[in-house]
Amino acid sequence: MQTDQPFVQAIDLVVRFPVKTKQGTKYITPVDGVSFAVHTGEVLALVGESGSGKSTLGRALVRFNEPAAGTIFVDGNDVTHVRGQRDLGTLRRQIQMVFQDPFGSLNPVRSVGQHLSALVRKHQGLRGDALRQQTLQLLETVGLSPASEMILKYPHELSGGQRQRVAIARALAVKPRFIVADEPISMLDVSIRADILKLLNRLKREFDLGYVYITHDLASAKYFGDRMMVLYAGQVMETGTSAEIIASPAHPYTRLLLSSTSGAWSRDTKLNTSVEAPDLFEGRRGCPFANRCPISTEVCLRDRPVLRAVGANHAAACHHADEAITI
Amino acid sequence: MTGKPVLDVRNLSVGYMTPRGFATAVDGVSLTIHEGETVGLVGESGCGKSTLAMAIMRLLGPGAYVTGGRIRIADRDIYRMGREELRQFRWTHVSMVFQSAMNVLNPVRTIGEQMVDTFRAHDPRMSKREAMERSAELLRIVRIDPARLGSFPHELSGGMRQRVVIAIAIAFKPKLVIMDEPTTALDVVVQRSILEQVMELQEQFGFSILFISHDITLVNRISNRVGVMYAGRLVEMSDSQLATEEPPLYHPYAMGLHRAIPTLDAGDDEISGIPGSPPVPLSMPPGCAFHPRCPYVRDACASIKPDLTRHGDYQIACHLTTDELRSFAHAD
Amino acid sequence: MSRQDANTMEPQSPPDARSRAPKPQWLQAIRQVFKEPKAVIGFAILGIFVIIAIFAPYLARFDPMNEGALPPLTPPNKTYWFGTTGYGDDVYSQWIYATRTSICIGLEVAVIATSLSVILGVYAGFKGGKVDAVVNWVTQVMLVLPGYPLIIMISSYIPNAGSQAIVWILGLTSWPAAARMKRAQAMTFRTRDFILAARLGGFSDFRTVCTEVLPNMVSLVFNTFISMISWGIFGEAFLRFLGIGSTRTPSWGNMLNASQNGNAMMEGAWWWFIPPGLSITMVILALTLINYGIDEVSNPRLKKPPKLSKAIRDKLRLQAAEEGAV
Repeated sequence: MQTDQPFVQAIDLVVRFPVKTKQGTKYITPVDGVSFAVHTGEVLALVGESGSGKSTLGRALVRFNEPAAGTIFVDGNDVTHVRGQRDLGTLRRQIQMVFQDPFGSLNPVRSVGQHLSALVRKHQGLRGDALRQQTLQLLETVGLSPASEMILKYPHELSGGQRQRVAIARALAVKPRFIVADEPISMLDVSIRADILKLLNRLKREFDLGYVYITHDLASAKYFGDRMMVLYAGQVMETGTSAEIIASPAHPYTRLLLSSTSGAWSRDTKLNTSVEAPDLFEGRRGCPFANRCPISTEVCLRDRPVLRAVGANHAAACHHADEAITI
Repeated sequence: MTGKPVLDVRNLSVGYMTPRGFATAVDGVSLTIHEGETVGLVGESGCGKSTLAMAIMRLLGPGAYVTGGRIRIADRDIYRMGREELRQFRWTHVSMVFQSAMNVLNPVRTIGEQMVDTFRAHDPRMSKREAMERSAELLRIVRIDPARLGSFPHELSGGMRQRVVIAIAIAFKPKLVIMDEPTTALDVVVQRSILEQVMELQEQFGFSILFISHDITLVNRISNRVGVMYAGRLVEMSDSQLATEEPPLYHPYAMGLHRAIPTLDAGDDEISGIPGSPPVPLSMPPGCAFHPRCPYVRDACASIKPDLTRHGDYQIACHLTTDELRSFAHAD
Repeated sequence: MSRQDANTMEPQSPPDARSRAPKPQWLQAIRQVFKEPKAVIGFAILGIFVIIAIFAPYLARFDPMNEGALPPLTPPNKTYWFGTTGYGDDVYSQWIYATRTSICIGLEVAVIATSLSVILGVYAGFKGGKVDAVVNWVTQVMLVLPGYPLIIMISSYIPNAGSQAIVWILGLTSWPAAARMKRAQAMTFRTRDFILAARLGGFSDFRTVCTEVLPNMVSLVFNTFISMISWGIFGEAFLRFLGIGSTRTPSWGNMLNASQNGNAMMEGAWWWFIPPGLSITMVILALTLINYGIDEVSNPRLKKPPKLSKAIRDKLRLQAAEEGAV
């Protein structure tokens, strides 16, 4: 791993949204004090269930929403509050995004070629034959061949996997250094997921790309992510190298997730099934997982736990992280 | 498990009339489910698994036709029933849980009203109060506070809604419950707690389950037997790999599915997808529909459609021999 | 454009069909529109009127407005094909030129109203924020004001309003309903992933609207355009029939107005008011049929499911699975 400055760095990031309730407007914080750093050529997997804030966090990095507090550095520049087409454009030339739904992320009335060539022309300044060659080259890069035929197709003529490849090619057309991949395989057929993950992996090596890989699936996070960050209710529960978290999870929530993943149900983790969705309202106290946690105590309801190291490159936000291992 | 057959599907074919021609979605599928058994059905989008479920419920939409075969549920042919008889038969003998609870629940009426309606639709003599009591009891069975009877569907979490739907599905003690991706839209933790509960309910009430999913690991986890569908055909039917001691045999497609998903087990196992995409109904490859994507393809595969044949404890529709299947399945 | 679900029941088009150069969707859509019998009939009727409008000077036999040079109230005969008016004009020639006026006014009103509804509705709906709030407020106000009285009021302030004035009055007052519809649709695009992707690509909102949003709304825009032609023709006839604006222009509305003032009904001069009256009805019918045709292509839910062809039915000897509902 590089020792130079990280390409993307978030410090104590908070994203806040207003919601209308019967008691008037309140605020929820889907991202609540999250810090991380990712280098190029590295993959950080954000793992969490719905409501964990993983997608909101990913979207904050490309500034689809503006953080309420905290700082985002991209390539050493503070981009937390940049505005306007020019500055956002600079940011988005560095960070691109791949969306979850390959059926919704392509415009149904535009051909594959139209999706890519406008971007290539704008960002690489190519025209005419050079533009066409570069577009074809992009399609070859993401494994869509014969490219000269693919370039003419419309989204409805492609399978889900092919569409996702087009979406990846579109992200690459800008020549980014970093990609936020928001559940890129979860809506695809099982038999083609592996190839999309392998494609992302190959692009990482080929272009020295960094990734934030957003997923709810621990197994794919382990496969693709160098490091992993488990989120719950917008807060980091546990972070560390993927191998270590899977092998020795320190947070009760991580262990609940692990034991619920389809291959590996074990009956020894008791879970409180009466609560499903975490409370996201601003001003909550204690550990957000406390009301579902099998080992929560008074202190968990009162004080918010901070991330503490439980190993080299491994930290967990749990008051009982040390004891938790034995339960 | 050799109780009485609850569901017996013989050579069922279903197709859709589309503007571009007649598309076969289910092609000669035979399937038997015995009393108290859970049979899983795995396949990717467009493989015909949902069409099969809808055909069994006789809920096929306009434009869909059963073109051959026969379906018997509890020894009755539901395609020979009158409208009223069918209405009574559904829910009392066979019921269904869909992927989205919101497709079943009416968003503008409370859970209680909807449950009471369901009860009284099947038993008009039941009083409102009695129906309410039965509804409360059902909610308790699926571990939801009966106070929730006054809630609207949107006031419940996704998991709770699906529990309500499951409660309604088992309300009349049906012999067979069809579950079509019942937990796909839910988080893994919720998924697990719901499925564990379904298994408990099954022990308690003894219904059979046809469990349809794209998740082969999950299906293996909860089923006694597992069928794999590809391009409208059943290509494999076998005991769940978790239930047997001997090393399992797979259809090449199922082998591919197993290799396509990363697992949590230690070791950096290399995953590999199946090249190409699943075929679509109007352009089915001749012979074995999987042959263009199959790494072990033979000459015969492109021309002759293989039928399910017995290989030891497994039924596999493939031209390879038992030994070949065994050696490929355990090559790595 | 409905998204296909993971377990879609309808087969997708084959991903690797031997491809001839694939046609853009809008071209396919236009072809489909021309396969709809309703639309074909509509286009045929409209086509006749458009041809009449284009070739009016060659088709007319007399000066349409020569005021009294011909014998008044002559029933149709070999010289005066549609007879003459009470003021001594040839009805046929007047009708030919009136067709030209009405079709032109219809088109002009449609261009103005459609452009306004697209610019205001789509752009504001997509953009959101303050722009949208202002535009939406204006739209609401315009929608609340009663249409006909407003038009009559404005028109009566313009003495001897010519065709151009009427075009602007109709065009400027008829965009709000269409704009509101477009705004509603444009708003749904704001959060679509492919729009977010365009923003990530660094494209301006204006460009995104033009290249990503509008091509998805072609059928709605076209629908508006057709309805607005209809509205323009009807509105013009309505105003002129009420005697608003210059009576010196040959138009269907003026012909009706003149026949009314000239007691055509009492005199039994049916040939005077039937041609303009029937023309208005026919054109509006044609335009409505075209709109139905477009609807049927752009909204597949209106289509009946295809029936099994007899050959397939015989071959399969099927047990029909009748549709069922719980």
